[in-house]
Amino acid sequence: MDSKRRMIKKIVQQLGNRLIDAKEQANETVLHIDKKDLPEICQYLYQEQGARLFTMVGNDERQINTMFALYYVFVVDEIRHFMTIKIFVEENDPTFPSLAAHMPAFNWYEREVNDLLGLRAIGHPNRIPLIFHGDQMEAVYPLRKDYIETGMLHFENEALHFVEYTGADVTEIPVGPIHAGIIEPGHFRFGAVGDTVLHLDARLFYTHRGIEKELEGKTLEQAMFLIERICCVCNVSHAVAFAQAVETAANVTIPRRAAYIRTLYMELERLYNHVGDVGNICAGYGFAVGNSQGARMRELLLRLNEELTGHRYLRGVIALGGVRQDIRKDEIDRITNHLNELDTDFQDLADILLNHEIAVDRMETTGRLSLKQVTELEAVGVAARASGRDIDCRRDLPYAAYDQLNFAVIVQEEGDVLARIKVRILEVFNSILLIRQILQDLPEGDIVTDIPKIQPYKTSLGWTESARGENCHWLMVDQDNKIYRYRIRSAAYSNWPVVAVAVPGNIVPDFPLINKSFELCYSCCDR
Amino acid sequence: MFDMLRKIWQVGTVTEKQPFEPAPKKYRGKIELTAQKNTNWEECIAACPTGALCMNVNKIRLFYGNCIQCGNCVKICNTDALTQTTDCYQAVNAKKDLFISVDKDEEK
Repeated sequence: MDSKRRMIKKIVQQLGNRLIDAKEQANETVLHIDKKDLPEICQYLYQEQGARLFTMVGNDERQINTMFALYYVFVVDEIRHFMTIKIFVEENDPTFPSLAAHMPAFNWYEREVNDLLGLRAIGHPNRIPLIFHGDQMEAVYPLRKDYIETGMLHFENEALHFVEYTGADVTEIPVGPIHAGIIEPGHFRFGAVGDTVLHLDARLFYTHRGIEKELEGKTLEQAMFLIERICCVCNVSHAVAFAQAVETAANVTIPRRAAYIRTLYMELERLYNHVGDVGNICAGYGFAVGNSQGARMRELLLRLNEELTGHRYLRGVIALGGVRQDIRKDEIDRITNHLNELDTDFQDLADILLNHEIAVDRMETTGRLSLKQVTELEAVGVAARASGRDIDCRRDLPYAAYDQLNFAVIVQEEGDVLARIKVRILEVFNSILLIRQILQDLPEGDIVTDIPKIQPYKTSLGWTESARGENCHWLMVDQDNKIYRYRIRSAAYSNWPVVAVAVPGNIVPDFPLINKSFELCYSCCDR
Repeated sequence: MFDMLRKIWQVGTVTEKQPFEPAPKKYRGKIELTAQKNTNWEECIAACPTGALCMNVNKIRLFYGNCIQCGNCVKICNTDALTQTTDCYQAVNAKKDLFISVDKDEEK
């Protein structure tokens, strides 16, 4: 605790008289500074204090204090503390200094704020629209509070935002947004010389549904149902992240039994995702046995979920202040038996896959990412751990019951498709061990606690480690206890920029394999 | 190679033929709506997060197109007017078949 105080004090001292206001709350320090000091202070935190970017939120606070606000949330893992830099941006000068040139991770965040709030990042190297496909005909910014929905927005210059190739030997290959398999929409444009990819442009946000806007003005109970539906395969981790944000804001501790059951559901979610993903990767090089065995095991896990909770993808199990569904004694035995079967069953699949020469040959050295690349682009989850970036917020920023459980964080160094698969395989066995621990020490008691009224305009954070990486939710409620602004930064949002970096240098037929090895979700990135 | 063949042999055929077994007991399926006197309709309607359940003059209407089967209305209901089944086959031919309604004060 002492080192934490010292470090915060040191950072505050470093800021000196540039600090306008500092506020302490829960595990977060909010430092309000002037926008002209932003680049220097962010770089100080980033480079000298080892802070990493957690999320960035743009908020229309004109009703509260006549200005827009930007929150840059950094986390310092070693002291488990969030440092939030807050700046105000005036309405008649909607600009702020860009950081993307020095810290590439800011690229998407700054473009998103430009699209949805109309705040321009001055000095951004490539400020093309991110969420909108094309340039806006007239300025309409959906996340501003005075936005009136008018139906379709009109755009022009839709196709101009791709890299143009001048050489005669470069072939442009457009793929998508409609794909051959039943996957989500995304447009990829390869510049290929022969068989080798030179450059990849990815255009996403086809499934942007405006969930953040839709959540504004909803009660917390209503919002839970929408947040569970951000994406189909991370239901529990999104719901828990939201519940934690609300509980932090309301200053509530959930009962121990609820924390354990939440952890159980999160691990069940990770388990079916990872088992399915290991099977899915085999489809990337036409290895039918692995693919169908993975699909079979995943289906059995989904049926287990349905039996336990009534929903195959575990919706409707998390409540604000606890969980909705308890676990009975006979269900504990049911899970234990299933895991015993899965353990050997999945070991067989892993052995088949990792001893298959052709399979290993396709995966080795494919889609390689270096530690430098994942660190600079702030990749999270499996993609980061496979390249040697040792982050896992179950261990670094423990939530639910993770601080009472023993588990190892799996890190590989190579950063290729094989390393990512190995991380997943080992995490499956890790999850099985975790679930066994949870079922063994499951405490008795209540499963839900009441949430009091939240102090208006207080901000809070909630985070979880989903099967893809960390999800971060940022919450602000208004005086009626309804959502004022909600920001969802999912693991896919952090990891998509890395995919475009991993592909160049590989052959075109390896793209589906590389893409599958990240197993990113389009809809929780697009929101 | 042999471990692969052994696995295929051990697992055998896993695909299933219809009709499937009924959904597990906990499955939250189609909500049934029946007319019952003295039901706390206002509270049930307020509990619905998507507005699928609503009141129109003195008719209670349920639109399955908006219902997400969360079961909030069933939990809050003080009579048996709203019940949750484990029925998962809900496809219909026309959108109008997704609307059902009952009279507020009628007994069936």
